[in-house]
Amino acid sequence: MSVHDWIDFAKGPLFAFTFLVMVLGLLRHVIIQVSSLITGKGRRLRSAPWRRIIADALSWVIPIRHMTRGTVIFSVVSFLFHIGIILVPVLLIDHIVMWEEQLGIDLPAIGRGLADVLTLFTIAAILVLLGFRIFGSRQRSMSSRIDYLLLVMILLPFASGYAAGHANVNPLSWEAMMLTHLLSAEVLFVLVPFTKLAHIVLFFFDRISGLHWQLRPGAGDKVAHALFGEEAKV
Amino acid sequence: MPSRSRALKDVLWALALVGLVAGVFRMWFGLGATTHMSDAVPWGLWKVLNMVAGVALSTSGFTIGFLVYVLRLEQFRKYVKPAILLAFLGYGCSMLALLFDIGLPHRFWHPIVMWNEHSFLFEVFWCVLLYFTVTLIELSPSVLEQTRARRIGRWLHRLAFGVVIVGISLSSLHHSSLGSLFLVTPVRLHELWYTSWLPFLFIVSAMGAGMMMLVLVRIVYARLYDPEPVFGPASSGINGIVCQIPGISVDSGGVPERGPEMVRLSKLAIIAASLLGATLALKVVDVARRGAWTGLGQGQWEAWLFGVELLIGLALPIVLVAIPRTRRSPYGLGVASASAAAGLAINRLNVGIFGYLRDAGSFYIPSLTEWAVSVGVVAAAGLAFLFFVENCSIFDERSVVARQPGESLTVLFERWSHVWYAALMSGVHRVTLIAVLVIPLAWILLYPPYSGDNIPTVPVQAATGLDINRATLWLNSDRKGVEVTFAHLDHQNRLGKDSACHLCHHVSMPNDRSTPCSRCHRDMLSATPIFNHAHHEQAVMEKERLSGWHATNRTCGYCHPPGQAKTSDNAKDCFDCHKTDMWLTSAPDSTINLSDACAFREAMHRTCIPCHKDKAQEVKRPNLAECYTCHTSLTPRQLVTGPVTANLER
Amino acid sequence: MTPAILIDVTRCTGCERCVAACIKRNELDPLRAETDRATGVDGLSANRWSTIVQVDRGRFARKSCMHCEEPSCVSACLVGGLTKTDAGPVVYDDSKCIGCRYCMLACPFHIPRYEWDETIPYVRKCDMCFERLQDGQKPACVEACPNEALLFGDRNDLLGVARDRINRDPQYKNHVWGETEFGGTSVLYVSDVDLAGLGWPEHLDNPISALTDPLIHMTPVIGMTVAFGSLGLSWIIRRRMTRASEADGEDGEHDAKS
Repeated sequence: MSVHDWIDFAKGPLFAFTFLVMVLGLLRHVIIQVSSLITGKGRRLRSAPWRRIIADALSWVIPIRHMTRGTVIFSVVSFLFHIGIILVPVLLIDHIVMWEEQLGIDLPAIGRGLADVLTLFTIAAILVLLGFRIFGSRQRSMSSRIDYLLLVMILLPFASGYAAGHANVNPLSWEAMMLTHLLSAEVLFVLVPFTKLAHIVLFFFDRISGLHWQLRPGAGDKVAHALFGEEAKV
Repeated sequence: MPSRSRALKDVLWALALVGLVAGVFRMWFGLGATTHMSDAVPWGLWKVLNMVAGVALSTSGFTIGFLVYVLRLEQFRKYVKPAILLAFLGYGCSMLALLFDIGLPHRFWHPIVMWNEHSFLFEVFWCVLLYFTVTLIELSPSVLEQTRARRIGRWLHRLAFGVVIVGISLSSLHHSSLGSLFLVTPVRLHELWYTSWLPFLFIVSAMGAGMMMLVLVRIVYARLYDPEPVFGPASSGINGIVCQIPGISVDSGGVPERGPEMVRLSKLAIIAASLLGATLALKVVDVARRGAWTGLGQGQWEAWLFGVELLIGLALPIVLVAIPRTRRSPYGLGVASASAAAGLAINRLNVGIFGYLRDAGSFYIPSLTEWAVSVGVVAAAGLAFLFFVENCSIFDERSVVARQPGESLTVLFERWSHVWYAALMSGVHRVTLIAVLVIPLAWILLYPPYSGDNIPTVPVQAATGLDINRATLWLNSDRKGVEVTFAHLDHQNRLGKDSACHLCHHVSMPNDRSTPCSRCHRDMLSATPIFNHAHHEQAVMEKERLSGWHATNRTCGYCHPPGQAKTSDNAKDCFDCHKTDMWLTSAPDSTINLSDACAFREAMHRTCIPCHKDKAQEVKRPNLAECYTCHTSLTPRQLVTGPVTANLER
Repeated sequence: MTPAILIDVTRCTGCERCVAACIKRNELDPLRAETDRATGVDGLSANRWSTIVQVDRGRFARKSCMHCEEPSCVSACLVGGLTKTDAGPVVYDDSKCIGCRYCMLACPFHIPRYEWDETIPYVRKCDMCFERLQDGQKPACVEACPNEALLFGDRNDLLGVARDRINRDPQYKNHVWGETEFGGTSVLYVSDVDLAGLGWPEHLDNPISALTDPLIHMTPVIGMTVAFGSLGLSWIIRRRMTRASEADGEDGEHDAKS
């Protein structure tokens, strides 16, 4: 098989496989969360403090409140990082061609210039976040190997994708870069449902799922330290 | 408790999920894209393995009913419930597989209102439908006793005797009719299998193998849930995990220690083996009667299949049951019964598929999708079986596991995703995880567009010269083995000698006069890609003297517009660079997509026919434009009988 | 009159005008018809209901539905979707078909073909241009033949023509294919070469339905016999068991339980 056949394989069956693993894995999280909520022994859903739950969730989505806590740079970088990581993979013109070919979904594209800027921002954000994790003593104490690995795994498809699209910064052939891009993105797909990246969907549940543990919103921070690394069992 | 069955359940779930994906693809893409059935082999795995063999292996429902209710052999009463469950699931999964097999599944009810009482398939349909209802009625008491509707169950139970008699009558009809289905193919089915005795052979073998199937299921059930009655007290060790080798476990007296159930099972096996013996005798007599022995001696592969079928399905089980030592060992009996069931499946496949292949002139290997649906349906039936066994009293009264209500909600922590679950039952958690891994795998293995688009290729051979000057050429034509004779030199001379080449050929290289057409038009019927991308990258790079880390990375912009996805549609027109290189037969048309060469047939016809039509008018020889002018095999010959004599339109 | 077609193999040049007419008349896809000819076993497909088969070097014959007098497919179809019309042709009703493909298995000539590529597939085969016949026209293929290799007319008349030709010209084989095979067909062949390649059997003059009909008519009898036989057997055994237990007292009961 020539390198073009490998690229076609990575674009076709391998892409379908990994993408499906991600979608089904996330769907599984949703199903289990919802069924847990319904059958769980926690407080009844109707009497839950919905307003507070939503407010708390939103305060993490839009990190204005947390800026006052002295983690301004971290919050802003993290926010930018999330914008880039959502917009570019979905709305880049080359990806939209693939969505249309593989899934029949047509989406409006963002401009190539905007995509480039966002990609560079995202790459920079990843590097900054990595720096925080490595040099910030508080964060380093909370980080495990998988946290570093995931950041690098997210960096790979962005960097290789940018290089594949811009010949003048590409140290390798287009084919090698494209293959790296595809394969690293696909590894990431598989990782999503099985690592903390599952917060793509679990984010919407983790405020609510506190309900059946009778936890007050925000209590998770205190519990995290106690639980970390232990053979957890209730 | 069911820790032994957990691994089995996981496998069954995986297979059933693969089958589900395959079934969805079958419905979405149609039969042609997903199966290897064809006009030559219209009946494939689903119909023959799942319907004909699956129904045949479910005979225990009526044979055990006959033994217990009619012959009053009370010792087999314990097997009535498992036999009915087996029949119910067997028929259920045959019918499910048939829904995938028939071309128009939404019309499955048509035979209920549209009758053709001359058709054996019609009879089979009705009998299977009615008998499925019978098993449903027979099974419902054991299911209903777990629910509040116990009374209905008891009321239905009173009908048992009548229902059993109806079931026996229906079964004796459709099990033989499954054989009669193949009576309509006297010229197609191989002589080893085609016989007017097919109905008898089918019903007798099905009765034997069906009982063997029950024996197998009883042994497997014992292995999974309750080893003591079958494997004896020795095998159910303290921790319940025992790996026993047949014939090894003997106690001090030299007599193998068995559970009490083995006595009954071996009796049933003896009845089954005598039925298999009857089948064997019938087969031998039948083959001798028709003189089909000659077919056996000729070393055809059918003869080998016939032998395998007799050996695995009949001889081996009979011998194993006849030897007391193996008969009384659960493993010996297990092998015997599994072999009988497998042999029956082989027999039905032989009659339904392999026996036709010589006549069909093509071979048939079921596609992955066919296997997936076939196995998936059976796996689903297996899961249903385990469910019934665990939740209803099928094999014995104490088999129902008393579930504690508090157990239904388990709390789990997934370390890798750092997620807490309050999962419904641990089974849901497990099965969904299997689904997440298995469904994508099944998807890429079975998705029809990945498995080749099935466009057949008919490669074109280059023209061969009849003589050393290539004055006359033989052009490849798709009439198998018949060429078109083409007077090349004659055409050349008439059209203007050396300056005329470009009238027919594209001249793509300087001084090129003899590039064969088949070099680009490589396929008789479909277009072939001829654009070499890598070569163009290299050429542009060299021509423009590009340099850098990877100079070919900079060539894209020479043909593809910036800021758009790079496809062949928006690439530069070939003639922008190659206008002077190519001398086309016709004026360059910007709509021509030069990345593909059209089919050889199309290229030839387009080149020859217009010119011939014009000339035919010009020289007033209409024959010049006829097909047989070039296709010499079509030359009209002197008619044998002269002019037509009979005017039939009086 | 029973309409029939007589095919004279000595006259057929294999020009395939009949096939082209068939494709045009039935509005089939000509391109796919071509692909199917090159790749199929004999050229017939759901897109190509008739074809030309080379039966010998330089000898061609049209192959399509033989329109048997007592067709196997008609007796096989479980919903009665195929019928032998009084006018002669065997026609297919696609509103009844469930797609079981038993007709394809039952046909001794491998004529019915399936639309494998369709998501909602039907069986396809020649219907002898049934609608044209009703309008009093000839089938399209007969009309298109430039050499009168295909003759259309009453079956008995055509048999006469066939005999006449065989008698007048010693080149013909002394056999009218379709006169008696499988109970007779509505498409007849005369030829100067052997036509075994078209699927004609050696010695099988009975219709295929004659193999199954006697058996299927016995179905209710067999069912009743088995049912009442079982009832009777059960009654006898029960009676004997009661008697045995009455005679032996408790011993008999003990035996029955062991």
